[in-house]
Amino acid sequence: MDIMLERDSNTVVFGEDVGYFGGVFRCTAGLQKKYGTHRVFDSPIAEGGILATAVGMGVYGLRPVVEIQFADYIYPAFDQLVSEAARLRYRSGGEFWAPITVRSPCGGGIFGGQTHSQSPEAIFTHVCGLKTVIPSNPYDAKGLLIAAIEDDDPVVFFEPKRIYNGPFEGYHDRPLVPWSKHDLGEVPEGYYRIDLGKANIVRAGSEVTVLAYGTMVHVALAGVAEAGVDAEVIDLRSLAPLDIDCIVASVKKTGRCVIVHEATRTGGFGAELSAQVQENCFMHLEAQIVRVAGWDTPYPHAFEWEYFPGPERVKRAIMTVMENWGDRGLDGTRQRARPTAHSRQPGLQLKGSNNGTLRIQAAGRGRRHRRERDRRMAGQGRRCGQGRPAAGRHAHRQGLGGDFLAGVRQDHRAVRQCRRHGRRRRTAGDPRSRGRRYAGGR
Amino acid sequence: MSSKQPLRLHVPEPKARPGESPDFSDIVIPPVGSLRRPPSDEPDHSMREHAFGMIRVLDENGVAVGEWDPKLPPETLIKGLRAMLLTRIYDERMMRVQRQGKTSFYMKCTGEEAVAVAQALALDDGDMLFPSYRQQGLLIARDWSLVDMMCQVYNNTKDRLKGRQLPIMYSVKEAGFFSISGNLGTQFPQAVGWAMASALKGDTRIAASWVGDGTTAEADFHYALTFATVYQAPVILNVVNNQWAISSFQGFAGGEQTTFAARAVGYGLPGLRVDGNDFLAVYAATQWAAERARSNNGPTLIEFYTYRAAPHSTSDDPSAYRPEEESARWPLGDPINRLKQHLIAIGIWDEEKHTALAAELDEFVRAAQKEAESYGTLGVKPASAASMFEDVFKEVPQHLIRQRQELGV
Repeated sequence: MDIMLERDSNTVVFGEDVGYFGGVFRCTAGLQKKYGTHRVFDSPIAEGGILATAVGMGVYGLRPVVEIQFADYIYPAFDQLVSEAARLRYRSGGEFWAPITVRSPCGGGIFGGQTHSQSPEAIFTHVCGLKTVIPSNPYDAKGLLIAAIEDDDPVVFFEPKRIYNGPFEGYHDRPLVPWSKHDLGEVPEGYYRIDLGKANIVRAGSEVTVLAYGTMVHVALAGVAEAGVDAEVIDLRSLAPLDIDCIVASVKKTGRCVIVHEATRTGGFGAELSAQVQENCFMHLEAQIVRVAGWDTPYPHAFEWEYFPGPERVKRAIMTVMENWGDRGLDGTRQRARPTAHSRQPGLQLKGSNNGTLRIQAAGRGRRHRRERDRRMAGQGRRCGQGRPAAGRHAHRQGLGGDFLAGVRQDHRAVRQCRRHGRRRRTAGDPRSRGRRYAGGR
Repeated sequence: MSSKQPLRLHVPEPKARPGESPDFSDIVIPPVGSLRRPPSDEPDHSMREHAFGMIRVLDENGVAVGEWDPKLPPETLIKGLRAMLLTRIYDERMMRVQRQGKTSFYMKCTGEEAVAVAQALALDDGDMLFPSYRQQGLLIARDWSLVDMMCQVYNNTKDRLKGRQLPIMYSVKEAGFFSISGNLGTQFPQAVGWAMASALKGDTRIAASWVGDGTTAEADFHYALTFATVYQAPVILNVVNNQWAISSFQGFAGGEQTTFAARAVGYGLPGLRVDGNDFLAVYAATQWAAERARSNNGPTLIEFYTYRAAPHSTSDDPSAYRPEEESARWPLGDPINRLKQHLIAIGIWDEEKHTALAAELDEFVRAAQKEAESYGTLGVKPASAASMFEDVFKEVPQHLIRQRQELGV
């Protein structure tokens, strides 16, 4: 935001608490002081009004970057996003448009309860005319946000709040490595962009494709490590536009697909991914597509970790699709005997052993041949997205409006304070919450 | 036994229904010239009477009375009369072509012409308009091409919106006329956003927006007033109280308890209640609010008290919910007749001229219709089917290219 405010005098930043205070997650800290109250300012608590005025400003010729304080509060703005921002260019025959970026922290794992933990991204991917982006690390966050602000179409930019200060892998009982001590925390200074609609293969592999975005990229990597399987993990980065070519090339190569997201399962973005994968890769699939997602319930405060899709569930999903190994061939006939009951027990045969690899190697020439053919036909290397350029000066603080990471710096388990339903209230019964309070509250 | 009274729910009911005699007994119409014209920087709290009374200039003899008389030159008055008359003739013609099956839908603004026309004339050409669906008079008063408007109504090959919008959902950037939305009230806070942008860029242009009485119940109405007052945006927010929201009378928007102009009071804004069928009063109130906005004294909420003489749309039959003769008996009269009467009273107009003008405009509309129909009527393809995949995004994305190919175009 800092860079775009500097580069483009038509960029304005506003939203609840984003001005003087710098946002409850501190994402806009220092920007008002640097650019003045005409460029960076607080707004009334009216999400619909924020979006509506952003549309008007966009029509005037500005490039508004607005913050919806939590994704859970975005619904009052839904009409302005769906019926107005997203449809304006179309309905006016291309005469009017509103190049808005809507930033909003999403996701759980922070003891936020059901009104501070939701992942509503799928709702927006259903809306033609909107782009939906979710970064998984500071480097991507900066490059994607710059691309989103420069985009002449409205972009919903969800920021997984659980990873504001470190790549959370889903182990809530282990200490978190902050971004400052993590490779992905290195963010070059200055301007760079990551084009929307380019997925990133964060782990190349051959046995199963794992599709994830946001926090779940880190959870998926942890789940893959636990499963001990040579999985290809793809960080989608942007759900709309979707890098379907990257996904299809990977699934055709691996023959298996696991989809991981935090949002509730039914009608979630995983459903769309699953549909598109089977439409494009049906003849290459060796097993059913399995989704790992939030349960179809509101986000339960006291059952955070039972709800949160952690590495263990990812591992089990991978096991499920690996078990079906060899069950069906291209011609629909059963190619090999089903795995024994013994080997079907999750984790027993495959976990951390060479068994899986050996079995795959035994898969036969036909299969390898097919994989090679697919790879040739896909005509592409292993990376769909652009590679990370050499990290510049270690400057993660330069990223997003001065301090992308400081949001929950006090503690990675902070933000337990509910704003609307528990002002200044600690999480009852959670000893870790004692004395911690996130910087918010009305 | 309980001594507590059973509660009763109040469900509003209009005074008269079909078969009954129209009843306007609860409408208080203050005499013309009864309200002072404060300076345009008057604090809102010292002019609250304007939200509850009614700004009126033209008396029953067509004489302009009181401080609010804008004292317009004859050419502006005649221009206003002409634009109102043209709007009405255009509406009648389009209603007829809908009945002939040449288009699917139409909405007239009969009885409300003074609001859009006088306001367009009181504003500067560069000011940005965020209308609802009954302000076609704005485009007509800004001399926008009638043929172009008709082409949109017909969804024909010259439809600037490429057949994507319901008839009358005009959008004309060149005329500062924002794309009309079918979702009510969305344009109200958008206009505030536009005005905020104009102010933060140090521009001199202001914005204006319109909603009906029914739409004041929408959240967007309140967002608009909140943002307008918070940032003192240079915007004029207009409520056209035409008494009816399809079949719901204005009581269902809270009009029984207070005026719509009085909504401004709680927001700390000046609220003006204006005789919406009085061209001079509409002009004068708009001029006052524009002066206020242009001199950084902030926004104004104006309620125009008028009557929707037309059906809601071509899909509506008002005889099913209100007395048929209600519109003819509307106590504030007809805006065109009242301005005509004034022009005659000041000696610059007569029946002969009026008849000649009506005939000229009728011919003008017929000629426009003929030209517009030469580009086709509903049912012609406004563009190739491939065009429906354009403008969803600035660039046509991969998945839409594939869907277009799937359609085979």
